[in-house]
Amino acid sequence: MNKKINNLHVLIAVSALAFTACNDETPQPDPGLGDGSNTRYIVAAHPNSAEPGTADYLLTVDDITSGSISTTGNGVEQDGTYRYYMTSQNKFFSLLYGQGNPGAVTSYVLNADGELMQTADFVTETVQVFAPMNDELALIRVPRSGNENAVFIRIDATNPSIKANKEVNIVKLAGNGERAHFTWATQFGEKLLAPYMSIKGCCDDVFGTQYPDSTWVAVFSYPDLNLETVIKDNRTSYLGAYFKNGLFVDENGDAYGFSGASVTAQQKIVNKKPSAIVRIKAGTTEFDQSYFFNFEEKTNGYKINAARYVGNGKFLVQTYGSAGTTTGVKFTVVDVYEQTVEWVSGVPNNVSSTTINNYGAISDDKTKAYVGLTLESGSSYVYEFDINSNSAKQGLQVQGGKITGIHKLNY
Amino acid sequence: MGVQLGKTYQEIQTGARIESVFGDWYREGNIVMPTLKYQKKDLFIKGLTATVNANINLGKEQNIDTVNVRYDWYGQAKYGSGLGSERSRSLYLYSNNTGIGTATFNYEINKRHSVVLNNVFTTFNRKGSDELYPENERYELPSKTQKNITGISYQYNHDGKWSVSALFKNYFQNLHYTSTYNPSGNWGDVAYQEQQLDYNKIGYGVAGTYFFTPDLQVKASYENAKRMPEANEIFGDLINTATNLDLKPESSNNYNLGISYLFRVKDDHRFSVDAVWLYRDAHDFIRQRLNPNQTMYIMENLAAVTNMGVDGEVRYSYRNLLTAGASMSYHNFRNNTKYEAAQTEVSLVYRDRMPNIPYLFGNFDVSLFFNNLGHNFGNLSVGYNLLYVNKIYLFWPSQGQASTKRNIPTQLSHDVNVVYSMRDGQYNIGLECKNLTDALVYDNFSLPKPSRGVFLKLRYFIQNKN
Repeated sequence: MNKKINNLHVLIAVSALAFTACNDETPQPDPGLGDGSNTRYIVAAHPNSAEPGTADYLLTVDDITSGSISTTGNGVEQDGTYRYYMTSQNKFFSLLYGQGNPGAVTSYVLNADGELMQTADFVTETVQVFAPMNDELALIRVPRSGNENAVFIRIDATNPSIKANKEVNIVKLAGNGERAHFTWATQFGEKLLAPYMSIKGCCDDVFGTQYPDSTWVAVFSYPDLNLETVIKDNRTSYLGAYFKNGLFVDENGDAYGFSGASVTAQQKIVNKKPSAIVRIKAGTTEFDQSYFFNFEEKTNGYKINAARYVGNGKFLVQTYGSAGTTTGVKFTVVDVYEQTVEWVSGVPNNVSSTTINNYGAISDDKTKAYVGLTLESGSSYVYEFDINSNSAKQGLQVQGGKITGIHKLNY
Repeated sequence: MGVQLGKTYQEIQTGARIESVFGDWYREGNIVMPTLKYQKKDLFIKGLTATVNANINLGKEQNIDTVNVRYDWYGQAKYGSGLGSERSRSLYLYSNNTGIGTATFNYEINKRHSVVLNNVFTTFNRKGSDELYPENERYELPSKTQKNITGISYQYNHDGKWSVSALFKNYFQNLHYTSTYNPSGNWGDVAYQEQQLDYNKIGYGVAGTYFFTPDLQVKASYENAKRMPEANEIFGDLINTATNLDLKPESSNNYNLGISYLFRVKDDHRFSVDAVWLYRDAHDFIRQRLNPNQTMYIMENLAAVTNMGVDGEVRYSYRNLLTAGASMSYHNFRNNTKYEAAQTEVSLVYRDRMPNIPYLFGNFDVSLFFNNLGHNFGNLSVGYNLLYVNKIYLFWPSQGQASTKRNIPTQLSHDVNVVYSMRDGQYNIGLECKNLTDALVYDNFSLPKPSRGVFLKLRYFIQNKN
């Protein structure tokens, strides 16, 4: 309880110190919250030019499959661009990645008019893992060198505030002389699974490793966050990547893990094991040895860059421009039940960045995934990926902007 | 010749923004600064004056951030276990060896012609080590810059009726630094490479002034100027300014046109009016901005920026009793970068007003003097100063919905001071109150500045200067 009060103090302090332009505006009557029957998309973007010195803006639209929008005069200004976005409990969360400095959590809801309304803004640690867990968010600060403790932060997603912090020694967890660097975390039943990569964390080779061909998933109880076990495997490499989710739970409660197996040293990929998909069956704490989906073999040498779960065993997987490389952008639709890979048509060939990792909405019928593609010319588009026809279609244009996230809320 | 000695202790309380709070991080150091001053009139020939000034700071500083804690604004500390820091664990002990040498030769050929030769040399050499990271080779490698700016100007003064001058400058900067690269392509893999870089630039300008009457003057000037980045702008200050080794010199064309007029009303009321129009067309404009996580500043080049501005000032005095003045400036800094590198679409912030640069500001001051308050009672002056800065935006003004934009609000602060002096200034007592109304004032990135402050200054000359 004491902690809660402290957080409230922080909240008040931040709202008092952060001066928004609200004092110029005449107060609007509060329209209240809607009945939840309508849907609106939130597209986060910033001007593509002068990029480092600008802020992200949250644009709200009813339809992301057509039309055009710009951040000029539009969108809710965010405090800078190092923001990461997620939704939980029908709230939109904007998190500042502080690079070791204090981070921040700002949350929004859509009001009855479908406009974003800020509900909380408070300071936390800088985090690079954020996962919805029941009605909470589990955030993890993972030090890549120096201090040996990762800090787990539990955020109440219903009434956004910090609930508890817990430290986990990641050198002890790795147990191989390196560090367990959590790539992401995923709710798996009532447990929190945190896949990790092993990194040296020192010696001018922070992200280097002696162990490129192993897979680890740390299993934590929730809400106590006690380490229960580590699930290990040696058929592929680690799951996900720094700031990238690699573990997804399907409708049956089974978890599928995606490994890029693209650890490089001296510009060469050093993995002996292939890029592949592995499985943890619901209720178990081991990799299913009867299941191994060799993505690299199925595609004649392509590696997984990032994956997003769409539904019914189908994933949208972003891979690279050609076999054996780690540059360029191509998309595939992967069926983890049938173990098939289909190439997606309709993707432009001058893509400079995508929002495939974690930052995209899925249609209600689980047949379409929305991904922001920024082209080399400077504009960004929402692309609608249809996982039944394996095709992509250009949708909403964000003029001169770079899309950094696509989410949706009900109001 | 002289030496300046000092000790410094500085607590680092915040990052670039007030959201990042620190409580245990500090820096301490000493100043050991030998200085040299030399001036000679009529050196070698009549009319040639030489002035030389030089100093170098040989002191050391240490940056100490070793407490694994997170503070909030209520002073509540949340300690973490194990070794850590508030920003970046450090016991870095270093010396910047900042030195400057200036030499000016002023030669008055005759009453009408004069020539000035000026040379400014600055040096910066940061060296140090950190006992926490004895193996880290980064600290053994150089962060050095030397600058030399030579200017020569010639002035022709036609008996005070009109004058013209021309100047030519050579700018030279050498950077000797260490860049990091990634030898393996592996995330986080670091190796170091020593680099040398020279910039050699020229600048030039002309200026003229004409007196229609002794009280009415017009001035015009043009200068092609360069701004060589400062050492701390390139190498950072190890507190809240980040390193930018890619920072290039800025070049600009500057046009100024000014008029000044003096007049009196009934002899006792004296007025002066000054107005200047200016236009600046800058390339690789050096600007300060926040780094992506908002906790430090970084200096960067913006490809093209223009500024069309006006400065105006009116001053008034009444006998020896009162002086007052007001000034106002409007500087319309605009981003003139139409296409960002490698993009084919017009930038969304092309012609947008530059954020974080005040564009409308002014001040007003009034002072009252009570001289010779009777025999031996000395002089008293009372002054008031008003500062005004109009609202500016934290990020690009054109972007986002107006009601959600972060800004630095309009600031108005009042300072008052009273100075009392006796015996022709041998004894001085000054009392000053800055920010009398305790108004909220900020820097250009919304970090609050100190609130109301009262300063008492006592001065006593051992030997009366007369």
